[in-house]
Amino acid sequence: MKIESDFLPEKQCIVIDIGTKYTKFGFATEHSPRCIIPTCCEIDGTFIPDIYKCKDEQTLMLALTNFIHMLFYKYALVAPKDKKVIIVESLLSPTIFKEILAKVLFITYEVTSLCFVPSHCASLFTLGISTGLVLDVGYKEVILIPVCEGVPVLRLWQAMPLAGQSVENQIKTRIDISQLSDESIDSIAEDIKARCCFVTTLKRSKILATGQSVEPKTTDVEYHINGESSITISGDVRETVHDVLFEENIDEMSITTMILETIVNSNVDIRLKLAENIVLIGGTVMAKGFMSRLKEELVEKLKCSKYNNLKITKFKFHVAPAYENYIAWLGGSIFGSTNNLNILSQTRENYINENYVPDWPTTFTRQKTE
Amino acid sequence: MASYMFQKTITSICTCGLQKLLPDLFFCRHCITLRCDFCVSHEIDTTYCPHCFENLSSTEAKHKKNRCASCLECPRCFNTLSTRSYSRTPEPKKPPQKMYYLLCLFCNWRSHEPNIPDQPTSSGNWPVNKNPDDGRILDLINYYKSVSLKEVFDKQKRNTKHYGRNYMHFLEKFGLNAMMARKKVGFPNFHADGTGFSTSEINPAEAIENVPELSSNTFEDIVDLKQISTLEQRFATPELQAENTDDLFPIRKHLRVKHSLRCRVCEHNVVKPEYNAVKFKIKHLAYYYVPEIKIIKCEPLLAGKWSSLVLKLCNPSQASTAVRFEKLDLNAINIIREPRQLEGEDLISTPKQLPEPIPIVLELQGDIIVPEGEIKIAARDDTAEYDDTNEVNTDNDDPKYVYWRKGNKVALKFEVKPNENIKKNENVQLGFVMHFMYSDTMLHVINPKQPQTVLVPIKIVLNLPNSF
Repeated sequence: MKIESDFLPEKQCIVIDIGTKYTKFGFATEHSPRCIIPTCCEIDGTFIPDIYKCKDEQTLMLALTNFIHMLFYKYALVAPKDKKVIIVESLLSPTIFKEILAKVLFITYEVTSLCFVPSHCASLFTLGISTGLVLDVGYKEVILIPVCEGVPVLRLWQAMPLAGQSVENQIKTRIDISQLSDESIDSIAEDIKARCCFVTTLKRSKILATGQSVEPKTTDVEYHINGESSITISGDVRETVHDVLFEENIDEMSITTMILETIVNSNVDIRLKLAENIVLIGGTVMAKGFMSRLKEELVEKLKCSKYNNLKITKFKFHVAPAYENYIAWLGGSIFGSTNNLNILSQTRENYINENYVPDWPTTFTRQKTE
Repeated sequence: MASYMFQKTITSICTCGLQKLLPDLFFCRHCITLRCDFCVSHEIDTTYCPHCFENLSSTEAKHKKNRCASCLECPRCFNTLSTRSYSRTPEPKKPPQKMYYLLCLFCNWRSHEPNIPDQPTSSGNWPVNKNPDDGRILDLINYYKSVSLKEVFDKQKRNTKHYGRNYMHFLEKFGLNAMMARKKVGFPNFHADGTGFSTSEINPAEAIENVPELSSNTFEDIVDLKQISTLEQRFATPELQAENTDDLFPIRKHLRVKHSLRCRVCEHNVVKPEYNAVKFKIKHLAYYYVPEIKIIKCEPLLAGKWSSLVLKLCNPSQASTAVRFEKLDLNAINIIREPRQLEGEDLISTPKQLPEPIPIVLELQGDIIVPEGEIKIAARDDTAEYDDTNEVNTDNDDPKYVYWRKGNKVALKFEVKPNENIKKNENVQLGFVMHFMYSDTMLHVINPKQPQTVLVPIKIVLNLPNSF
């Protein structure tokens, strides 16, 4: 059975995870994406830094057409015609984006079938488990959706605009980059975030927040820009920029309380299971010390009266066999290797006849099996 | 010199509605209309390595994951690595042995940095790095594959029950036709009735409570930014994403493709490159058919005043042509988009759903008077340049519109009036339609005919600078 399927001239299936900042792209059944590239493109010479920000339908369509063109002809080196495509997307992704993406892929690029896979569910494929609390800390926002026995519990979703971007904004306000270079502030802030900063421990963060200094003191870093000018990044900044993710806002919400709120609101019988199956995905969780800080924060927060009656004593985290920034992609790739892809995809004929993209595979769009 | 190609002073509106420069446009000879990058379908012609120019077949490229087998890239600065050699004498009596290592001539990166051993051959079997968790991912893939197969079998099992003694239905179910149909849909081939099929076992991942802590020397360690890789360097090898620059391994050069372009409407080739050469078999660029327009003289533009504008038209084709001008009607700008056809031409393709045209949004900031009547332009003649007499028949020209004429070029006078409310230093956008005579020189195999001529309208947008 296995041998036969290996030799069949299977059509290549392409897996795309279009993130706010970086797009992961590759072929199904492969173990890592072929490329991780910034989600940006050009329309007639004008640079579009963020495709998700295109509000106008026309611009969005042009931007996506150009972007998909680049993916296929620069990286995949296959013509998209008659290929299967899997899009790994967040369940909270805007409908208009999904519709235009389907239109571009089906009409302009003539792909044979298209399947939207929710990123939170797909991530669990990389672990071989079916229940987990999936926390996606990306660039624009953090999205939490628990998955129970393979079904996302949409009732319990939580989202907040606390992610890589807010960390970068912290860097921008605390370090005056603009005095050194005017054009590429965003990319410099990102570079500083990725190369100099880490997430400090809860104990140190508390002391630093009061304005006192801690021992051992974190070293300062001399950061050079273009080999011309340099800037000193103080140790305090290096370790505390990520603290914005754990600071509670006016509604007492932060990444920590998001997780706890979800557990409180969930059914009693899955509470323990969720707390012991936390899955972190997204590029921002790759910051050094993120996981241990999150655990510390969760344990600390449990002591507060609001969550006191939760009978949870410990939190457990999963470590996937891949880097966090492409876990969702890898889930899509594993999904693409199974037969369910053929059953759950929407075909081109179906799209042209029905002229709509379903929110999830329904009997109207899936192929008749018998 | 090339910069004039990018100046968006004179643009043409493509059939799909995008504003493009003439060198960026194609001309479909079957639909007799303009096409651009956006409204043709791209196909992959050949795959090649941008460094060694070796052509690879599509299966070979697929097998090598779109990477060149011989060319390597520096993991630090992404320039091509060169192979360096030195001699070494392993034992005193033996002849010296040549050893090879990699060096980036741009940033001085050496293959010694990540401790890649030197190789005895120049092509070098440079090691390929793999994700250490490869085995686990493979297990997961196999597990989920078998789970989904089992699902299919279970469904079939339910459907095969209670047939009594009539075996005719088996022919439908297990016959050759059924098998072909299954293959088409992508289902696995029939495997008896699925009994005895078992899914492989997998250990679900164990969550850990003792998450890795920040190492105690994170705080005090002196950070050397040269040792920490940038995101770009990490993402060049997504499966490794090394944070230390010493762990960066050379990257195999990514291949590139030659595109061949096909008109979406009539499915004829517009551009087709030649194999193994920097040439084209077919290249229907608009640049070879459509008269090129250039501004040669423009009087200062004043709000509400007429000023003259001289445009030079140059006929690039080997047949003489004629142009006629018309004002651009903004109300009707989005209407005529249907492809025209030559007589006696059959549509090869079956009609299919095409991408929607892009609505043109244009705002004109002035009025223009275009030359009336038909203006002939002679064919391009490469020898005319050496001809001293250079006589051109200008008898039929109306001196009111024709400024001068020379060979295949003609200068025409236009009158422009910017709107009253035009701001200073803002470009004045004007438009007109140029109909040019396209004579079809294609050889019709099926029904040879006299060359036909068709008037092709092209919408031109001028973006005149208004600064003094």
